[in-house]
This record gives sequence, structure tokens and C-alpha cells, in this order.
Amino acid sequence: MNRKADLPSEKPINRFSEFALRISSGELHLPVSLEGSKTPDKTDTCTEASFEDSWDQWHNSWSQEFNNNY
Amino acid sequence: MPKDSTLIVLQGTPFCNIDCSYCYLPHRLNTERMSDAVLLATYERVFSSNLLPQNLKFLWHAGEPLALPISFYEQAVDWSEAYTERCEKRCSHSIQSNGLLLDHNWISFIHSRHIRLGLSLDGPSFLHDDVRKDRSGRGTHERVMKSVRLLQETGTHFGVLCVLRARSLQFADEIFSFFADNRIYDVGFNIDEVEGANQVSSFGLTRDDMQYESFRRFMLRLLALNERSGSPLRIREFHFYGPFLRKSSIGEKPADERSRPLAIISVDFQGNFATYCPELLGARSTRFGTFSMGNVLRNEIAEIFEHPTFRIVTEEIQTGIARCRSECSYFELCGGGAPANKFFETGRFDASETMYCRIHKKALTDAIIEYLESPTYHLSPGEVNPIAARQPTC
Repeated sequence: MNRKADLPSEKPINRFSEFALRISSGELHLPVSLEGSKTPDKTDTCTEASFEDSWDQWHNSWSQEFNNNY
Repeated sequence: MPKDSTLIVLQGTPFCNIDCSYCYLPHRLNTERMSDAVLLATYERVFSSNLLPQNLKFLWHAGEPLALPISFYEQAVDWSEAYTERCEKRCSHSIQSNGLLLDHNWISFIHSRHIRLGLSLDGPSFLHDDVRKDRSGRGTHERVMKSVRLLQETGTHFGVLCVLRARSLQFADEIFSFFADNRIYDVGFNIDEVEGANQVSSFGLTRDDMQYESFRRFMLRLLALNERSGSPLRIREFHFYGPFLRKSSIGEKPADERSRPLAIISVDFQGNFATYCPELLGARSTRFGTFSMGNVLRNEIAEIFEHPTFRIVTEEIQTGIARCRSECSYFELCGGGAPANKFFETGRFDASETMYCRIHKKALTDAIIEYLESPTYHLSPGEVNPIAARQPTC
């Protein structure tokens, strides 16, 4: 792929669809970074039963709420 | 943000105790605070509105929330809980802070009331202290890191927002190591945007191949470093793509929540409210004056649909989205971009491409694609991805 001179002009979505098909067929596994790390935080003592949850749920919520500048 | 929730950004005070060079907020020396009447009216409006979904996510932001006393938030949480008992809605509270005022009392409160916390931290001190200074001009990194240690010692969850400037892109390794070494695992990367009071970005506004390329290489390097290190960091920008790729395979299309009416509602300390991007509330323009679309002391949320500012802004936003759909091959990733970036960069909401989307969407996407296209990205344990092994050239 030549990115030397131009800003993107290709159709990445088409290529994403291709990746998506390969992922759904099991041919391709996503990097962990794209799936979200499963690394537990050993310092976590904040997860009381009433407080929704696992790290991943918390992270997802955090990501959504602080998406972009908020 | 899923459609079963609304994000409600609350400005407890516009005041901020520090003076970051890229801040978009215009009135950071104003020490006024949201009155009980405004807060109660806000709750009354949002909890009773049939237009809003069951889950309300209150985010205290748009000023330094911790500049107000803990008692303010104790009252705020108590009242919101009383409303959840009366109304068929749930709610949560989050705070986005610069971290300088955190102490054991705050942490105790955050724990006991299950508050979610985001800190602003721009990586290593030589980057952070360039731009995040107190009012005497001193860098704030050391004080933020003291708060980070306190949070970690008390086992308190927090995420970090790191603003990247053009200069930061030279330091992918240093930024990655800083967060990984300091066990700061949840990180989102913003860029210094042209918004509100911040009228200049280090990325400039013209189409710039070098900035695009530098950001693409930075993200590629970050992804490779994270993978090579066992993925210790949960990086918001990457985390989006796993679900996106799975949705792509079944034909679902994501949309930018900042373009959907009432997905986000911002309420300032005086009770003025607006929807779409929170950066709009508090800003002024010659075309619109303020972007207030109502006031909780006088208006129901539903009245926003009759407000002339809402009508004009919405029409322009929809035109802009249509342009993005027809012009941009990245449209399905972002659904038409962020209205505030369009407005503050071009003066209009019906624009299409912005500097923000060239850098933060397109360059990022191309970095992900390059990584996925690399035939060796999926490695056995112990193998080193050549991309990860490559030294940055920027």
C-alpha cells in the first residue's frame, strides 16, 4: 500500500468487511488490543456485588462515557 | 453510547484550578457553582422525560469537578438515588478530573458512592508539564502522579484521558512505557482539537500529510508495543475495532452518538442545556449566539425540539452527515463525525472532513488496517512482530 504521498483515498470499509468475514469464519483472530485486554487489575477492591462488575464491563462503560473529550 | 442510555454532562462549576493550554472551556476563572434549584430541576427534567432511555449516565465535567466540596456531590448522588426510586430509571455518576485535589476523603466518597473516575494525564512529565500547568505556570505532573499512587494504593478504578499533540507523536515508546510501567491500564487518546476557547491546534487545520502519517505511525507503534508486551493497556481507540469488525460481518453500522439528538445532554451550572457535543454549550458564535437550547428551570427536555437553535443546528448536522456519507470512505466507521469539530473548524455543521477526523479517525483506521494486513501480526508466544520490532522513524 502506498501511503507516501497522499492522504487516504482507498475504501477501508471494504477491506474491513473482508477482515470481518475472515474473523467470523474463524480464519483470523483479532489482536488482543482490539478485543480489550483481559489483564485483571490486582489492585481492584472496588467491585462490591452491588457495583456492576468486572473490569471489562467497567472499562466499556468508562470508554463510552469518556469517549472523545468527556 | 448504546441507545438504551443517555449521557448527561453536568457542569457543577466552570472553574478550573489549572490552566491547560489547549482547554476549550471559556470561563475557567468563574467560581460560581450549580445551585440546588438547578440541580433538582435537572433531575426533575431528565428523570421524568419519556424521551430519555432508562439509563442515565451523569458525567461531572466542563470545569474541575473536585473544586466543589464533597458535600455537593453527596447531595447530588442522594437526590439522584431518590429519583431512581420514584422513576423507572437507573443512573450512575462519573467525574472527569485533573486529579490535583484528590485525597483520601475524595477516594472514600468515590468508593462509597460507586463513582467512576477519569483522570487527565498526558503521559510522561516532559509532555504533560508542557501544557498542563497550574495558574502559577508550574507543571502538574508530579501532583497528578501522587493522586495516581493514592488511587492505586486504595484499589480505586480510574481511566486516563491523554491528549496527544503533534510533538507527542515522536514518543510512542515513551508514552507506552509510561502508562505500562505505572500500571495505568485504561487509556484513551484525544488530540488537541480546535474547539471553543482553543482556536489553535498543534496539528494545524490544513490537510497535512506529515501529521496524518505521524499519527498513523504513532498508533501502529502503540498497537505493536501493546501486543508485544502482552496487551497490558486497554486503549480506547483500539478497543472500538473488535466490536466494529464483528458488527461489520453482520451488517450493523455504528453511528456517532454526538450526532444523535438527546444521546448526550449537557447542562451548564446555570441550567442551560443543549444536545449534541458538550463543547457547544458555553461557546458563542456570531451565527447562533450561544448554543443553549433551553433551561431546566423553565423548559422540559421535549421543548428542545421546538427551539430554533436546535432546529437549525440539527438540519445542518444532517446535511453534514449526508455529505460525509457520499464523500467519505470511512463513513461507516464514524457515522458522520463530530458536529463540534465541524463547527469549530469550519464555522458550519454541514461540513464533511475535518482535521480531527483526518487524524483521529482516518490515520487511526489505517494503522489498524496495516497491522491486520501484516501477515505476521498473529504470532505465537515469544515471536516478535516485525512491526513491533521496528524502530519508529518519525
